[in-house]
Amino acid sequence: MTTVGQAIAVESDAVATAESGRWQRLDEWLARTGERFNPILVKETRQALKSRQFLLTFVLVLAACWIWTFLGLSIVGPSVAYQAAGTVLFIGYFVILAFPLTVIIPYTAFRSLSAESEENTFDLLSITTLSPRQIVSGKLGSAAMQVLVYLSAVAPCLAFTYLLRGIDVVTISVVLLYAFFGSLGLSACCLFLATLTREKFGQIVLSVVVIVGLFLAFLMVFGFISEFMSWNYLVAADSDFWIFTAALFTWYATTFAIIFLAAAARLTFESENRSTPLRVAMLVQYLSFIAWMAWPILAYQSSNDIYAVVLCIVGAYWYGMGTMMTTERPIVSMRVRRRLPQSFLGRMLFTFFNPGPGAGYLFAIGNTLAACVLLSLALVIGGWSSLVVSGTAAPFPVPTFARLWPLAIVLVSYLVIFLGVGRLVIAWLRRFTPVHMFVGVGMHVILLSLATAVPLVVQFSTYQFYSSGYSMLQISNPFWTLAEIGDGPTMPLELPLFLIMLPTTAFLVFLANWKSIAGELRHVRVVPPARLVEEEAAEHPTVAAVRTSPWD
Amino acid sequence: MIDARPMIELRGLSRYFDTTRAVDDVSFAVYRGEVFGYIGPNGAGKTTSMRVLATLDIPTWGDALVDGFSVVDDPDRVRRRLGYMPDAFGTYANVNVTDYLDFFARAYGLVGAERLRALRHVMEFTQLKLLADKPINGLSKGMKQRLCLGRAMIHDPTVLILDEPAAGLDPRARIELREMIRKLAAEGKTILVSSHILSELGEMCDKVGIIEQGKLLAVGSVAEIQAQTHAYRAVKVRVLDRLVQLIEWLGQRDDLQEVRQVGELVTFSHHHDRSFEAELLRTLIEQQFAVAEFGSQTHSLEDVFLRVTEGRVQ
Repeated sequence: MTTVGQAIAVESDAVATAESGRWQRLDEWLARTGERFNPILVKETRQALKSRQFLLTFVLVLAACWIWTFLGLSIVGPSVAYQAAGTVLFIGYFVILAFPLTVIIPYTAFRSLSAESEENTFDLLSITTLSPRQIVSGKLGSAAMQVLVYLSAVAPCLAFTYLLRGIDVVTISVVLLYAFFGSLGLSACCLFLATLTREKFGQIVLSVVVIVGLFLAFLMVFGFISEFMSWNYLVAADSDFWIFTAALFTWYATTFAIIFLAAAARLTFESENRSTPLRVAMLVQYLSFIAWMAWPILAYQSSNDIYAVVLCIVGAYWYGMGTMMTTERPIVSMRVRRRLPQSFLGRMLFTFFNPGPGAGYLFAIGNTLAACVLLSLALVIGGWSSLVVSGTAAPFPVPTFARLWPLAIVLVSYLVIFLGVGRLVIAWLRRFTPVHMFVGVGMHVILLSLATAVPLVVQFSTYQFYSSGYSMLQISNPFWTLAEIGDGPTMPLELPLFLIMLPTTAFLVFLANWKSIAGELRHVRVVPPARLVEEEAAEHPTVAAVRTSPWD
Repeated sequence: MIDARPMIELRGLSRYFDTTRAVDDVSFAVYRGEVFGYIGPNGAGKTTSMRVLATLDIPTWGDALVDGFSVVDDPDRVRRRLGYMPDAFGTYANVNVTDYLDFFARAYGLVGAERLRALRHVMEFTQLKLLADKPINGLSKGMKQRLCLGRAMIHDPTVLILDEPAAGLDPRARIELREMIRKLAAEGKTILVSSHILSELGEMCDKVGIIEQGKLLAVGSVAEIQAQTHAYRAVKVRVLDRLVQLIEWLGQRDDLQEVRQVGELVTFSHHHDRSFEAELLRTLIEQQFAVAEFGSQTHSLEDVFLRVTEGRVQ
């Protein structure tokens, strides 16, 4: 027979067991969740919590917030009761927050990766099963977590500014989101820079560059927040602001992806495919740019300038990307060849994504040509749609068309010539020495600079041509020529000759490149080695080798 | 029992840095459970070959395979099977022994109980249990080497590449390390180890490869290389008296060479086998020489190394 006391004891034990069971389950759940985190994030969090630098910065940020609170309130004085003082205090808090977000955290990310090389841990890390993307995302995750910690430290102060009136929740949230993504973007850039060199001297130079750059970014943020707050308007009510934000976010996301993939590619083992993901990201950025440009094109289709501007931006973009793609090593490893597209359709559409300078050259030219076609279509569709919508016969935009096509022909010709000649020079240099990516890009820049500067110098140092304006001499100068065609009130008199000479030269340069391009295009998928097939079969006995898509 | 497929195989491996041939057409194979000693002077190409094997560098020509997988074409498969201990210890700030090993266990994809088991096993094997909470910056050289070995074997690799693991260790730590390596080999792990302490390697390695100026000069067991490099067997004799007569008597024999006195010993060489030495000993006793000591002088790994290499660096 149990006494009441015993019964209570048993009952309380049962409750305690149930409670401890709940805690245990929570603990287990947390442990399971922790297992899914990126190991680098876990390690860096542990390190940060023990680091003096983090502790010091955190305490300083809190102290600065306290000091600013007292200082700000004393500046506002008794008028705080009836005046909207939130904006003034918000600017102060934001500047305090911006310092760790724009300087400390990105620089910590930079040091975190460069220290891996200095401390000989990068080799150890790179031979684990962590992928380069996991390494970069782990470092970025750590930066994001630090941003959140600083944000949460300053959050009470920011909430306080809302109570002081003059600033709404949407504005506070938007500014903080900008700050969060800005800090993350700077951290990604710093991580990319940290991958550029593993040599001591290079890292010291890069450190200085990074610090100077980050302080400049901090000053820009300071200027931005002062300007933004001085507008004194509600962002929530402004549709243009949200359109601008959406466009900015598109640019941010695609650029972030390119920088992230570029950093990961720099850490990737040489025989891996480093190019294809980057080319996909470039294409997405390019397409998103074209998509955003559709709005001004359709809105201001009567203007000639918008087409010329879009086309020139596209040309500059693919020239910039092309300088890097045409510097790639012309070797496609057997590992990469195992995953090349093999069907006719797959090879037709995706060969341009294959690594190699030839495929990259074609990719840059092909995308610029595609922009020309898209813009022509936009002209035609724009004229047709205005006819349908307004019911009046819109004139076919002959003047625009007549300006666009010469511009397109000249632009594409320049792209083919400059990238092609640069590629040939790099291929020639490779016979004697390995050509680093930066040397290759530098070579392209030197070529373009020479082609631009030499005719300019000749013209401006010759009495006969000094004041004659644009002349035939400038045929190798793409900037002036394109400006003359796209911008000038009249076409240059030499245009018909240019339309023959430049495409012909481009054709000849393309022909000179063709042999090596064709060599790259002939790469086909190879069978994986027997040992790999044997292990794959052992690991996945039920999965048969089937085509997973029509592109395979 | 030796498997048909080598666990480590270098096939004409070459690695050039501009005009320097760091590794030049090196080929050898190591089988399961073997300890392979990689010997050579500084700058011979040992570390470069090991870095290629560890998928940290790429060969200019040739290939290296780990368990049949190419380090160039399947580095991911190789990494799963391979533990690498470089000559430089990589360390993180504000990290203790457990955190360090835990991080690498996670980095190798070990989760939950499997990770905890691996940590426990490695700590026990390397005797780091008592130092679990100690910051790694405060560890001694020997402890760091143990930790580094523990990190290399945290994912239970079948192949271990150890670059100068005994460098800077005191004699006790060296002996402990040697025992650990032999124990790992007994567990079936294949080990490629480089060292300057040749006496250590001679005792722990089943096979050695001698490399100089990027070229592999000799490969095989120490005895095999001895046989290749030392055509003559050296013998030493100690007698209690009649030392001069012994030297004279030995000197008169045509089948013995290089007869000389070294302190109280007489040394000479011959190109016959051990039965010849047994017969010679019997004859000496018949000749009334009071033989107190008679034995073959075995060539140490140092002798072999010195005979094979020329001390050149690139």
